[in-house]
Amino acid sequence: MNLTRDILDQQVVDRRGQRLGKVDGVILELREGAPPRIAAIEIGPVAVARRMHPRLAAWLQRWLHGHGPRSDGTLRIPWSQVKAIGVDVRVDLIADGTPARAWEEWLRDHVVRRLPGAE
Amino acid sequence: MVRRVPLFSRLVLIGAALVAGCTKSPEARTEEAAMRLTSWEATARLLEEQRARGAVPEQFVRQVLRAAAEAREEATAKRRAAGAP
Amino acid sequence: MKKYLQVTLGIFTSIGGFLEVGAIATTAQAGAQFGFRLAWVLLLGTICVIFLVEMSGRLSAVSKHTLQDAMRERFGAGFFLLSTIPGMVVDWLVLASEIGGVALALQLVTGVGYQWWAFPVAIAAWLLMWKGNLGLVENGTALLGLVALAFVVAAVRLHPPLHDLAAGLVPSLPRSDGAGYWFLAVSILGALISPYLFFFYSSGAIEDQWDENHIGSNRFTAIVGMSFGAVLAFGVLTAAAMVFYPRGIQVDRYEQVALMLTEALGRPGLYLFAGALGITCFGAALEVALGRAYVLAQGFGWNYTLNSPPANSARFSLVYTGMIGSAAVLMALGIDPLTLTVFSMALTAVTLPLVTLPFILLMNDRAYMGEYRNGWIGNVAVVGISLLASLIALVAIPLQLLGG
Repeated sequence: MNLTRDILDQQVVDRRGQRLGKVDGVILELREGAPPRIAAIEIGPVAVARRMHPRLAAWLQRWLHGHGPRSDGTLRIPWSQVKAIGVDVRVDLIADGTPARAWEEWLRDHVVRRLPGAE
Repeated sequence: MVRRVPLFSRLVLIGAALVAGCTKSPEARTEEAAMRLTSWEATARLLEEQRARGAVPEQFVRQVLRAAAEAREEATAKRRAAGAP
Repeated sequence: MKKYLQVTLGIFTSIGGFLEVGAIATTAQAGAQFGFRLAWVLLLGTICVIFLVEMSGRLSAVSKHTLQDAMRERFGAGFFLLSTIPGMVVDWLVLASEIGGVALALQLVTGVGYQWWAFPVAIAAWLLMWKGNLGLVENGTALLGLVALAFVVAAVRLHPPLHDLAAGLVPSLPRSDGAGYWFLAVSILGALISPYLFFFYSSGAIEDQWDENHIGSNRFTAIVGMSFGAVLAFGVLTAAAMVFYPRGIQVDRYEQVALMLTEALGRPGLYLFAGALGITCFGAALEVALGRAYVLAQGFGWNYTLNSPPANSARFSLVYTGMIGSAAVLMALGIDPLTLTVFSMALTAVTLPLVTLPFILLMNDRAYMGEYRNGWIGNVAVVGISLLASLIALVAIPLQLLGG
């Protein structure tokens, strides 16, 4: 399986079919005397920033922790919870309440709901 | 020993030459301003013809004439800046 | 029967995407300054956009991905971030121009300055997106946008010399004002070949759950819809060439552009012009704002939908809200709508390859398209035209800025 082709930057979808984010990073497990294995996938802007430049990632993490929901939005999903890979990557969890939704839910509660007709 | 001009300096020189060659001379600017003025004069004439036929409502005529006045001001200012009489 | 309706509505929607403030402004200026001599650019742009719209639909139908989804997947997050920033800036300027178009239309009819209409127009557009009545609005504006046929009627009534029009369809070099000629040429291309249209169209295809069966009707819609829009744009060019060119009138303001319809059609001309301008720009404003929101949502993987309340897609909703509010500010401040329009169209031409080149790569990728990959004609046409447009724009824009 080609990591970059089939997993990285794919859309992640939860148990109910809701969009969770993109596969922004892949965590590999290095083993002695065996090929590396995928341990987890990572969703979050810091993971993306790390692929650009480590200093950018550090700055972004500080900023995200200092504002809004005080979360850097990183969600790590163990490979065991990845159920299917096709058009999307389907994972066996519910999106709500996870760090991947932290900023979405904060903006919803603090900005969007303040505008008329948001519901 | 031949002294070679570094690439960056060469690019800057070419850029400067292009800019110098392509920015409009005062004569060109005056001419352009003059063309803009004649364009608006022609617009006003066309407008008058249409108004005589009843093809345009009064409030629209006012809008076009206001735009024409603004354009005339801009063009005359440009001509003065370019050093025309 | 249902597919027939779908196709006709698709065609009508393509019109709104084709003829809007950019097409009207650039073709009117082209006709006024150069008569029929830039007609070939209109033809080239139409061919290119027909290919690209058809590709947008085919990509979505076969790969089950929107254009932006596929681009992030295939080219990675880094490319997405790098290409989306200039795209966003350009879209913002285009959005401001579209709002300006609607505001100007209202000014022409009421006499109240366009600056006062900027925020009301933005709020109206925002409400329609917020409340999610998009289907009705898109179809409504597309049908009402048929008032733009007034340009064609006007063009016909002015009895254009057909051999001049035909001669203009052959590419030619400028006789005078080379910088102005090429600047307008790339502005026309940027107006016709707009990335937001492809992102919007492919998002719609996915939302409507297209599959391989839709490829035929998609091809038909793309060709007929875009060609119809092109006929409207030719109407504008012709009317401008017949009314302004012989009188030496350069188009500096939209107020002047209206004169070409009042000349050919009399009193109704003003209201038809305002109607065509206002309606097409309103539809385009919605497409630009939503198109950019779709791009960000799809690029970052957010949940997005217009079919449920905005609270369910907070980030997506805030993107189009922020864009339309801030774009309205530019018009409220009194920035000249016509100048902004033509420049933002030229800037669109510059950024075109950032979208078309990866697009073409996707359309030839077996993993996405299977047996439905591109033929060589489409590849050559799109790559050639977009690269040419961008290169010429990179030279023509600075020259125009320096000279102006």
